[in-house]
Amino acid sequence: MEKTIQSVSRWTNGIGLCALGIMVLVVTGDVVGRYFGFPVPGAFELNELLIVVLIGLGLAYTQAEKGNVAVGILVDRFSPRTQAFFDCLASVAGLIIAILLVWQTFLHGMMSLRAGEITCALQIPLFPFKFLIAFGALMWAFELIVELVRSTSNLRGPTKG
Amino acid sequence: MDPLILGVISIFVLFFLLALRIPIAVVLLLIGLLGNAYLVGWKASLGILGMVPFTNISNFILTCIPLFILMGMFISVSGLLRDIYSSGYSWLGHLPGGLAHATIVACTGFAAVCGSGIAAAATMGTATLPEMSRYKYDARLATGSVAGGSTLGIIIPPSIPLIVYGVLTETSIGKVLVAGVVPGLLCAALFMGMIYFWAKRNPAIAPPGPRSGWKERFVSLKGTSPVIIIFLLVIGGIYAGFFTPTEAAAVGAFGSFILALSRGRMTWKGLFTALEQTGRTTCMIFLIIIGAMLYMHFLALTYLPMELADFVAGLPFSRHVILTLILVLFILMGCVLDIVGLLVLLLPIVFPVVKGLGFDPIWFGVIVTLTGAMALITPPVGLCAYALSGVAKDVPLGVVFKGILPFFLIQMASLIILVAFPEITLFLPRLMG
Repeated sequence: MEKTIQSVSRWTNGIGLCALGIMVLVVTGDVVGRYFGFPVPGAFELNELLIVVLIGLGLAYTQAEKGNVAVGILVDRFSPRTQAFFDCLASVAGLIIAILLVWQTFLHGMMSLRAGEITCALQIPLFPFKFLIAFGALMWAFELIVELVRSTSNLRGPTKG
Repeated sequence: MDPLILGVISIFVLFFLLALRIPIAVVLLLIGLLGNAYLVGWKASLGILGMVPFTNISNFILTCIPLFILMGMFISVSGLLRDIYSSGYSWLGHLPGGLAHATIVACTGFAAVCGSGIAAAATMGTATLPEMSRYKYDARLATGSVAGGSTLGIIIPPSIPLIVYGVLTETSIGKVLVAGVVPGLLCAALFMGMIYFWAKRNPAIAPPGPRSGWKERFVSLKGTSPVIIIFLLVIGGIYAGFFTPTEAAAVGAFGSFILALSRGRMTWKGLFTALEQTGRTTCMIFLIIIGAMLYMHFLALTYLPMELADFVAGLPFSRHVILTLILVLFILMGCVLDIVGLLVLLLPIVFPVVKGLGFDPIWFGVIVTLTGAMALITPPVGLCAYALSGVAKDVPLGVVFKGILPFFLIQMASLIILVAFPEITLFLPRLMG
């Protein structure tokens, strides 16, 4: 279970990173092209959608890599056992937010699908990107569950590694 | 309950939850959600939660954040820092504290193409500390100059904190970035002045190196030219109105990729690491921005920021007294928070007050970023100090913090100068259209 989630979040993160590379190319191409009179059509909105891919697909991976900043000044001083308790607390708090985000961003995506929202220049439908955020939040929630399970086991027994 | 009181309570709950080591972004989202629910009902509050992520991610201006981070990563890969360092050394190496001067020069050059300080601390540490210890430099001066110099990364544009400030306060990002140039250079110059006098008074801590010939000096400049070209292209392009910050960042990232490639430094592994670290940092920053936006939405509903701004503006003190208190708050909180944390936690309350007192938002952005630079090196949570002690394994952290103290005092002096003479910061952005 844990392995599956982590390999999925690694793969999706990889796709997100490709979006980052494309962002560089699209905007640079637009700037250079504009100089010669051939701007990239819709570069502006493409960039706005590509960053959604980058963030949406990177959320879970960032969580897995301990990328979310917290203030450890107090809790860092406690025993590993007590720290595990606070880790559980942080995972639960994150999980509540993540689950609500999945639910609400999905609804937001459904609304967009029904309204048929599209971008101005290229007329790309927005709903897939809104669903992508819901998917990202879902992966984030799974990652938090993995962490919650790990910290609960640290809570019971002595920690290893 | 009076919304105002709710707003005040929310601040206390916020800091309480942060102290429990719950990530900043989660705390902000949680409090924003609950606060909104109390004021406008659950249905509306959840609706806002569903809308906030997409609206704040899919924003062209914000896309400059990953692009600038990526640019700095590529520059790190290209090994350019070493070239600036050796050029700085051939020009200044014979002075008292020459290697430390070269370190500050290299950090300044790196800051001009990279938006964070922590990367500079680690990279510079590995490059210059062995050299300084070979020349029998005092460990305090050696580590202090690397740690102090690396903080320039967030003052001199491109700077991620300046961009986040612009986003949170709806200030022109281009202007805030350009405003960082002169204060950053001032800070660097003061660092070097301090090193000169420190080494002059006590030559044993920093024996001068050999004097290099003029030919060698000019040849060494060649290695630094990419930095100058990229800086002029990116920041000059923003200044001249040729680019938006996002376009400048993309061109900068592309240019620095080509640079690293042409120097034979770009490997598949390096490329992947640069992308991966950029992605991770970007997600971290965006999640915090989303949280901050939701929290600010709630705070606006409580009217607390506006009421507080009115109240403070009516106080019978000089506005500089209040500014001083605010800056002291930033510096103290900077001991336990990093700059992005400082910005998202304090700005929603403090910015309307500062604006209400008639201070310039662009100037204030540079000022708080300077307090963020101080936060990078103040114990117990100085991120640059930690990054540095990670690479300087034989120097205890206590010595690093001792060496940092004079640099911290110089930052403080720069802060006072910039507060006393706002024109130093503002004349450059004023010249923009």
